[in-house]
Order: sequence, then C-alpha cells, then structure tokens
Amino acid sequence: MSDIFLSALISVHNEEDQLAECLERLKFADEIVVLLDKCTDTSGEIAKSYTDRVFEGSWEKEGHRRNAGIEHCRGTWVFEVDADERVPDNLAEEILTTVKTTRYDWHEILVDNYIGGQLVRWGWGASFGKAAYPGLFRKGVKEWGLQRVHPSLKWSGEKGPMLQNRLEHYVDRDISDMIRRLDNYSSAKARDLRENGETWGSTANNVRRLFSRFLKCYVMRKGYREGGYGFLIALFAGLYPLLSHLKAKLEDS
Amino acid sequence: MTEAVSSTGKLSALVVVHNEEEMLPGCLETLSFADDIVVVLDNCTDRSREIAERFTDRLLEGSWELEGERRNLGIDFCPGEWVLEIDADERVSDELAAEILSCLKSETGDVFNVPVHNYVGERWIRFGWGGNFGKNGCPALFRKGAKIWGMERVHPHLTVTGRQGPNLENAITHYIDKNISDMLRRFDRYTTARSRDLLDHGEIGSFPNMVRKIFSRYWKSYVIRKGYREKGYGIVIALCAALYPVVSHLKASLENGGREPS
Repeated sequence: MSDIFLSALISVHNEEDQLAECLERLKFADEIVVLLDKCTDTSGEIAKSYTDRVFEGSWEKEGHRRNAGIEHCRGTWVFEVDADERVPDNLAEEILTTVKTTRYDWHEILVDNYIGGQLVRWGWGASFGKAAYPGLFRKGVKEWGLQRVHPSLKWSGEKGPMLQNRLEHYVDRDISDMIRRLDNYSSAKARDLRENGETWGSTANNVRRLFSRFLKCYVMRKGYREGGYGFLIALFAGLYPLLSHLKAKLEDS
Repeated sequence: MTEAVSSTGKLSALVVVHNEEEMLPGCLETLSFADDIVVVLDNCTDRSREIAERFTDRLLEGSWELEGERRNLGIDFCPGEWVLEIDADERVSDELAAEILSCLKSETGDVFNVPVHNYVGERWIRFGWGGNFGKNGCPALFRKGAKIWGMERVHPHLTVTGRQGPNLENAITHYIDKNISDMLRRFDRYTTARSRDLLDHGEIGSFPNMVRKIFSRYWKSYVIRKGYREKGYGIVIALCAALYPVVSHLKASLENGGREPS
C-alpha cells in the first residue's frame, strides 16, 4: 500500500496567473496531481515546481478530463479544486481531519465567491456559479458525465455532512469577466445541444426560464442582498438557457 | 498637421480604424470610386497600416481615447469638399457609389442620410436595431464642416449644420457581428466605454431607473421596431439594447468603469 492517503487534484487550461497561488495552498495534501489541458502558457513549468505528478493532454469534454484526473490520483481520497480557488488554513485542517475520521464516502464544501475583491455570498446557482460543491470524495465513488459544460455527476457512495469551512473562489475579476463567462458557457452548452440534436425546448420556454431563474437567484437565493452584483448574477443565470438555446438554434458552430 | 484645403466638388472616403486587418481590405476595395481615400489608424498593432498603404498614402496615425476626437481629425484631414464616412466592417455597393456621385452633382443638400443594412453572419437582420446597439441609417455623406462629432467614447452625438438632403435609396452593407458571441463582446465593449462616459459626465443615474429602462427599451426594440420579425436575433438585439443602460450603470457604480478607484 502506498502511504498516499489524500490527493489534491487540479486540472488547468492556461492558468499561469492563478496557478502558483492555488498550488501554494495545496501542500497539506500527500500529493498534488495537475492535469494540463491544451496549455500553451507557462502553466506546466509552474506545476512542475510544485509536484512531479503533472499530466499533459487534450480533452474536448470537461467530464473526460476530470475523470482522467481522478484516475491519476493515487490517494484513497481526492480533493478537487480549480486554479481560481484558494484553500484557507482552516479548511485544509478540516479536510485532513475529515478524511481520517469520516465514515462517509463524500462531502460537500461551501464556497465563498469573489468578484474582483468583493465577497459575493448570495444569489449563486442556476449554472452560473456554485455556493457549494462535492469536492472531497473517496477515489472511485464520483464519476463525471460527458457534457462540455456543467457535466453531471454519478455517485456510488454515501454522502456525509457538509464541511464547515469555506473555499475561496475568485470567480470573476469584473463584470466583463462575467459577460465572457456567460458567452463561453452558452457556446459550450449550444455545442452539447447541437450534438444531441436538441435546442433545449422552445424559445418561449427559455424566455420563461429567464424569469424563473432570475427570481430563483435574486429572490429565493437572496441575490438582492448583494446589490448590483446580485442583480447581474441573477440576470446572467437567467440568460444562460435562452442564449444557449438561440446559439444552438441559429448558428452552426 | 495642417488642415487640407478642400478641393471643390471632390469626394474623400474616410475610414477610421482600430486593428481591422480582417475587414479593412474588403472595405477599401469598394471605395475606389471616391477621388481619394483617407484612413485614420487609431492604436493599430496589427497589419491595418500595411493594408491601408496599398490603397492610399493619406494615412493619419495616432492614439485617441475619444471616438469623436479621432473622427473629427479624420474629417479635417480629408482633401475633398465632400466626405463619405465609412467603417471597416461596412461595404459600398456599385449602386450606392453611383447614387452618391450623382447626389453630389445634384446640390440638393449638405448632409445625406444613408440607410444601413446590418448583417449578423451572412444574414441580413432588418428589424429591431437601435437603442445604441446598431443603426438603420446614418449621415455618412456630408459636405466638410457640416457634421461634427461630440466628445464621447462610444456613440458620440452629432452636430449637423447645413441643409439636410433627401435620404439615399441604396444602403451601406454593414457586417456588424459574426454571431451571438460577437454581439455579446460588442455589448461588453460598449457598456465599458459607456460607463466611462457616465463617470466623466459625473452623472451615472439611479439603479431603479436603469432597471425600468430594461422593459421600455426591450419593448421599443422588439415590438415598436419590429425585432420580433427576426425571431431569435431580434431577441438578442432587444436584450442588448435593453440591458445597455443598467450594465453600463453597474460598471460605473461598482467598478469605476474598470479603472483604479479615484
């Protein structure tokens, strides 16, 4: 048996600006595994200065890439993060304690999302940001689906309680970043839809979704508490299905 | 640089560009009917200059933050008595060129409105434009001095003096966006520029007011300007026009227009 118990897994695509700071906070794990997806910047060099478990490749679908990453982990437990996320000390300690003591197979972790320097706690969801994610799991219990964006998850274990401490996620630098993310997500979703010969229902239906998702984020998830950013998160979460639908319907690529 | 002395009856075609190597050749090719071509190169780091040199030696290079400023300088730099102002993503058809030339002879006005046909990809999108997100026509043809641009970064206002001539019949072909992603990128650029203009003018408006504008502007684009006839693209155009004030406002109020806080 190897003495690697906890693997920290990160898959990156051209993240030279963010990567070092992220890896710096992963040293508490027994190994760091980095997947380089079509990187053309210095991400590889940065990764190699932190770990020798660096794997390069080209994956078209997020699910394939994430599953491949899990395969490369040698630990009993896997902790999955992204380059724009930071693990504070208290969360690192909690993760170490949890994997040693828990009887469950996977745990969710709360996320604090930052736009620019501002913590935006309310209003996330509906495919435009996550308030929590199932990032800590025993190897083998989590399998990613094969969609390009927001892949689905298949679980084969028992879910444990949510961790108490929060992951820091620097999701967008500014509103322009949010608009670019909306554009990228909806383009990827449109590709998935076209591939399956779908358009995500009728236009009228997606206009209704715009309103229902806006209300879900702005009212039920209390986005209004965040003022302007809460409004924008709700708006973009609402626009995501409609734009994906229109891109799939009107455009070929 | 001295202001050129206008030569009587001559027509200058003016193109103001910022990194347009892809679109520029197709544009300049359609302008050979003019007596001369003037290209203003604003902050170009691509091959725009090289391309422009193949068509004309009247180039003006520089760096201007305000759109109005560089357009006014370009007009001053035109040697002709008449100016046709065209963007790199616009094309002048043979019919329009002939109409422009006969228009100048007719002496029926100092400023002429030219219709614009906007294309998204290969598709002509006829309805719904407006609300700062596209135009159906513009005073592109004018006697030098009759049109002065205002000092805004985006959508500068126009001061037009002189007689308004009849609208032209043939249209400028405008390849405004390749696809919906292009529209969103344009929306992002416009709202950033607009937020800076708002901050410069010291009046960014109120959030509830901008939210109300979403509905009134959507209605105007989609219903009154008949965007619904374009189906999907009409929705995207109406959304961009509708959201332009609120997103510009939020970029100004939350992010100081993308600049360091003052």
